[in-house]
Amino acid sequence: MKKIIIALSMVALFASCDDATDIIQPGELGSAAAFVNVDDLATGIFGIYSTVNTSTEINFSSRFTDEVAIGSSHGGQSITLHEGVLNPNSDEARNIWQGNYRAVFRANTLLAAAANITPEPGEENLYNQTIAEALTLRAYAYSRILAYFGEDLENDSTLGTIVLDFPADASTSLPRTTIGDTYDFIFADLQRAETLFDGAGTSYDRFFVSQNFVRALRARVANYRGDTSLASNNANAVLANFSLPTSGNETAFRAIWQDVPGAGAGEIIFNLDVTLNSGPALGSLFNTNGSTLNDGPVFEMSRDVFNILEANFSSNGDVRRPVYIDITSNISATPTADLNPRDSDELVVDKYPGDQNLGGLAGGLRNDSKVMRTAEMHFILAEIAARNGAFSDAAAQVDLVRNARFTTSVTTPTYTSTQEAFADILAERRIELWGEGHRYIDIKRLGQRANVGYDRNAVDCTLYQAPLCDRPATDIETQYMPIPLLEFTGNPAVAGQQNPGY
Amino acid sequence: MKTKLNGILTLLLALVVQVAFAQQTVTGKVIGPDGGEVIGAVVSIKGTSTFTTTDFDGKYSLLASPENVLVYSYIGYTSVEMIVGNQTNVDVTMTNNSLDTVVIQAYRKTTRLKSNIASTQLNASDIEDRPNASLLQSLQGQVPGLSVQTSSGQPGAAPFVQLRGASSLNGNTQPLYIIDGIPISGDAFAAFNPNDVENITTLIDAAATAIYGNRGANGVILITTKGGQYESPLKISYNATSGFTNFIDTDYNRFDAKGLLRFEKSRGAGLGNTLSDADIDAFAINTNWEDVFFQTGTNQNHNLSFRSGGKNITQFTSINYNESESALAGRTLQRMTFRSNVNGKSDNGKFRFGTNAFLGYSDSRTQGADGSGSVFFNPIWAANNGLPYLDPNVNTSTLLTGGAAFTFRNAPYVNLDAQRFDRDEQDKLTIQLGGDVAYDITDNFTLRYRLGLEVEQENDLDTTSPLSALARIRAGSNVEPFEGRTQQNYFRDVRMNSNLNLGWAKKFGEAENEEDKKHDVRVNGYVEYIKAHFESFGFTQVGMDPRTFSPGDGSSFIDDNGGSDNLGADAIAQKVEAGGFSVFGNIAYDYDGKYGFEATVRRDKSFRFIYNDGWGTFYAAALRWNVSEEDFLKDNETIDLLKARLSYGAVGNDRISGGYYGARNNTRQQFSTFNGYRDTQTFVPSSVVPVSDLRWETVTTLNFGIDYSLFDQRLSGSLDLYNRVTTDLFAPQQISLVNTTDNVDKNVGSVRNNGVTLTANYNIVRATKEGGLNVNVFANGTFNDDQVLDVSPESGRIDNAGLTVLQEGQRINEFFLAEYAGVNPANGNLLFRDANGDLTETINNEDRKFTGKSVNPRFFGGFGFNASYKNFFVEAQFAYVTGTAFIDSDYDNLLDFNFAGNGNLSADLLRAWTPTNRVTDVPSLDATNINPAANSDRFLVDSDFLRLRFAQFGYNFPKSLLENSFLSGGRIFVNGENLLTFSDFRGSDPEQRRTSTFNQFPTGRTIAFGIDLNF
Repeated sequence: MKKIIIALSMVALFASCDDATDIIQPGELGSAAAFVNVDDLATGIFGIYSTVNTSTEINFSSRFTDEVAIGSSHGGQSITLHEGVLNPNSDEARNIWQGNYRAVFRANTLLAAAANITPEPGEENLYNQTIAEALTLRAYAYSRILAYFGEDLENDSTLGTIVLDFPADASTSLPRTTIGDTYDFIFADLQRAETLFDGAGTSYDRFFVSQNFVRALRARVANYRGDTSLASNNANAVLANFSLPTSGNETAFRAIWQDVPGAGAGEIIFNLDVTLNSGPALGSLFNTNGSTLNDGPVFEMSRDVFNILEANFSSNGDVRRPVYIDITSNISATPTADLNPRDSDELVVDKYPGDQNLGGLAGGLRNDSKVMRTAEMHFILAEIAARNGAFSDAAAQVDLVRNARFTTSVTTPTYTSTQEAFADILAERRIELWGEGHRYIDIKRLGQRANVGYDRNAVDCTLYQAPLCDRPATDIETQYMPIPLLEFTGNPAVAGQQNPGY
Repeated sequence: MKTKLNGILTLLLALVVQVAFAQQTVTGKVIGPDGGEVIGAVVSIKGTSTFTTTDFDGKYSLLASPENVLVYSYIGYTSVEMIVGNQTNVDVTMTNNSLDTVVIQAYRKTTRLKSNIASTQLNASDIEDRPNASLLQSLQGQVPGLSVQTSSGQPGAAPFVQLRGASSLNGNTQPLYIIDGIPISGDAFAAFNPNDVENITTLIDAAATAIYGNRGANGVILITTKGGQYESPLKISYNATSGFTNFIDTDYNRFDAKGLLRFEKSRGAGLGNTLSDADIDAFAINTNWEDVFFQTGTNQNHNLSFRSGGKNITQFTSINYNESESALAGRTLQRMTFRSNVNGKSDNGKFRFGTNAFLGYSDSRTQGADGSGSVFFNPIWAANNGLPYLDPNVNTSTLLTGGAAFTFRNAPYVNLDAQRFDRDEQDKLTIQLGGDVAYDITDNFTLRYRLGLEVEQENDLDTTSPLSALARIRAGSNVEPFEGRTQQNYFRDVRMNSNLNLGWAKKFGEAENEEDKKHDVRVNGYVEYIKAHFESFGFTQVGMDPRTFSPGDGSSFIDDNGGSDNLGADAIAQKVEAGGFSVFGNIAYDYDGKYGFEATVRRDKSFRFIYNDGWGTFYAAALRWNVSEEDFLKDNETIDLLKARLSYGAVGNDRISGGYYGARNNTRQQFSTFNGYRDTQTFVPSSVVPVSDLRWETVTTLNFGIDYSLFDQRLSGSLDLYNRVTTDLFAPQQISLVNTTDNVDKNVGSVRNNGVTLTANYNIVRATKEGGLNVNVFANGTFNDDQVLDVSPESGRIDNAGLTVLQEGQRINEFFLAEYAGVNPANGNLLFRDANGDLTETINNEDRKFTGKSVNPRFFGGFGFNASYKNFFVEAQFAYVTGTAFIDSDYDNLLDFNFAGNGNLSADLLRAWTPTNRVTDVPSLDATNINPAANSDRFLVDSDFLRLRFAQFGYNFPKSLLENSFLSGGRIFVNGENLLTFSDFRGSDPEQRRTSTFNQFPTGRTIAFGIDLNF
């Protein structure tokens, strides 16, 4: 009898034990169920867009270079970076590296899944377009890694990026390939993407990557490499579809930065949409609660940039001056003489004034990420002309940008040397593309050629403790970012491949 | 070796007839250590065979001569001897006997003589009537090897409890808590009534814990609650305490108002800069913000219990009410508990059952920003750094209007405003149900089934009133008329434990009498099933109408009105499961009380692992030799007990990421869905990189122990040596950043804890008659040497973001800091020592050195004494900890002269280096290297401490008072917690398990008065 009882009890317990140990947690989505059909791919692509943003780059570039100065409500944010410290331990190096590799990982995951999905009839266009988007976003991510970490963008044999076209796992350990290999990888992705976009008949939408962005990105990357014909062909192809206004209009220009629907149709090639619940709050890179004096400015516009804008404004009515700087700003007439310029000279950044359509406190800090703008195509053409010694062509391209912002006509500069041409291009890029995450790469690429480094105002330099103020473009830290230390601790294959000088 | 009386002896004695002369009748009552009558105690006359036993009221009566010595004996209690003299009434109170004390072991009971394991037992008297709300806190300094670190002054706060050092890096290192056989989570103790406890046993070595398998790797704390006794009348006990909790003062030499104003003036900052010297001299306000935020908290505790037993059933019922305020205004605990323990048996005793039902309800008022630099949300920041020249009484609503009001200097006002309007509250319902049925199938076989259920549900309310300054400022910049925010989170955690056990016990031997057979074998097999479900949901509502606002109520909620997406509610929900299945067996053998052997083998399957099918196998074995039972020591008068134990075993830990529900599906790639780009619902691979071969951490312990009892049991204790190695440590392994994260936790690495524990109890003065002086002293100490044996990086080091590192050969998470060497007399800059030991003003990470300190104690324990004389009793318990340290960031802050004008500072700054004051410990106010590039030990303070953890003085009601009353016993007492603390720390409470202390909520000092009444 007792044995029967025991046996029965044992059986009952063993039979029900599986539910205690073989647990699939509620809400799990495993690999097998994630990507099943083309709709899943088309849904999954939004997850790649989600990880693409300009926020980490704007954060790094603005603080490290000469774009901003410490604001009255600054509480220590990014202070060591602002004081010029950049080393393999720097968070910013890791964030840019890791953030872009996250996009690569997501794209690779989607592309690997897509290889196992055969589109049903009628789904081919959606399927091809989705793959094209994934390829484009992967190429874009690689262009960022290359730009920040590539050793010498114009020397194909120097150290580039870790190239991989499959989803990484814990055992993945790959070395950095060369700059040239990375270019090849990017251009191959862009070529495949363009073909697929064309085949799918994808129509232009500023909020998604498309043929126009593919070409603009190709122009940008080719220009990094110094491939003038590829760059100019693609820049011109883009300019066939987009054009800047011929004179400055404050209302229209402000509308672009306020994300007024439809504003800047000719100016914006690819714009990452930011909503209340998705995308970064770019405004909070500069201000605490909003872009007015009383809303806690954390980083303000650098006094030197402001001085240029102010001079342009008085000479030519530069609309960027009233648009970039909030009207409530507390502008000192004599900042150099002020006892406490941090509190007496407050240049509140209004380039990211918030999207009024989003509303609320959060909406006041959220704006779309302008990833690719038409003005950059003119700068690319100007650079190519400068490289080729066509100084007047270069000046003409810079003029196109200036005229788009000035209310009175610009005086065309005359360049007498390559250095002068590059210096002027760089100067205009500094204000036109201010706060959009370009400055670091601009100085990296053009600084030595233009004999221009980081140029901080002496007053701004009194707002922090470190002795650093201006910085020449020959400093290692301005040449490339360090590969984050964590990559070396986790990936033996990159041993010995740190960028020189770090 | 003393002979102990037991039932068999009693029978033998009954056959003897004795005649005595010149005798008188002596009557009296025998009382147990719990104050209850002892039924069936043997009262004999020493040197004769005359004896009697006590009746149901604990009373006895026998004839004795004045020169006779009466011996009172009862199993489990120390025998008491009394000279009769001219007394005709001798009442005796018995105390627990260390040798015969029932030793609680996993799933079974044995005696100290036959116990094979390392364990420590505390009884009700060691923990009852303590004026702190947490049972676990009361364990500090009382259990060898057990470190108890309470880092928060919140009443009932769960301390960090760790036995014999950290066995894991990421995983759970806290012991398993079992109440009446039911596993209970460590945070259930805020709602637990310490007065329900009968005893607490800590199981320590592998032999003791192996049977708990994957949950017992860090030791097991077994708590047995009180029960009734069969055939005993109803006993009612009432106990009440009432006390006060005060803040333990800091010693940071903060400026007073005038001093700070002068300092500010010298720095050109703050209000001081706008005042003339005459204004400052005449300045009238001087506020100590510590006194504003820290006050005297009152607390009270009421406990009522009923115990009774009939022929086949016993019961224990208790109800408890506790209300504890802390020293920080507004931070309280309110608790009600109810317990019912019922045990029963069949007439022949073959069938037995027991049920335990516990219900606890607690309500804690907390604050989420302890330890943070969120100055407007952390009142402790305001207490530490509030400007002394501000008047707390000017705090009006207009003061805090507009963004400009939200400056550092006004933070104390914002916090006062928040205290008035806002609410952070957790109410928690705890239900613990246990059932236990046993049936003796034959004389040898027993079938037993235990079922346990623990239910915890909590509602966490965090609300910012629309009337509060914090809500008004948000509303102001948001063009909404009001805002305010309510966050409520509810969770329910249900854990089920089912255990089926078949036991076989038999004695073998030559003897005819079963009791005298020398071979005692017990074999047990178990099947255990564990399942747990956690569900939570909650919402965050933004926008409340002040007309109908009340914390926790939704009448005031403002719907999304379309004008702004800010208003309205966001919802969250979570549901997870955990489970395990185990089969295990244990065999124990004893030969004549001299030799013992025990072995355990178990197979465990955890839901966390798929590698190896999820199964792990663990084992343990123990040997015991009762040296004092050998012939050559048996009659030794000095040595009552000398026992040697040796055990070795491995136990698994599947809580590899700490939490009960952590690392649920780390073995497989997951995708998570979320609101993606353009508010499109999408999905991406989750950021947990899967590791398919995850498996148990294995803790292997070698333990050698000696239990001793000497000099007529006056000196007793134990000594244990241990070596504890964790392998397959679940530790971070760095991976390439081309993954979505920089590290995965895998089974790599190993740590070791070696140590020794010693306990000693010495009965210095033993009372020979009732009311005589009795003095006991006791001490325990643990030395634990922890070391990282292996981590995954080739460098042998994992750098924990700054202050500590995991370095092979060093202590676990040892502080690794550059050495601060003082102030450079030449220029007032900070001086450090570089890696070569040379003085330098600039340091980097390469200059860091090991300090020998971590958050884990290295040498710790407790000591104290208790004494009684006539009706008075007194006791004191000290606790000490060494080997710990933390960065005193509070002091660092108070020396931050750049902060002048925003908050208070330490007047130590007046000693700062100047060209005329070159030899000083405070750097120049113009020092250029005040923020060096690497962390230094400048603010690292030893948090070693010695504290009078508990002291008590009381008075037992005399018999004369009780005799004509309805009371059977009673006492009054005054006691206190944390009465004295000795430490280098200048802040309030050095007992903080953290690498850096910054605006934390310290534990206070409590003094209480109480009364115990037994009816």
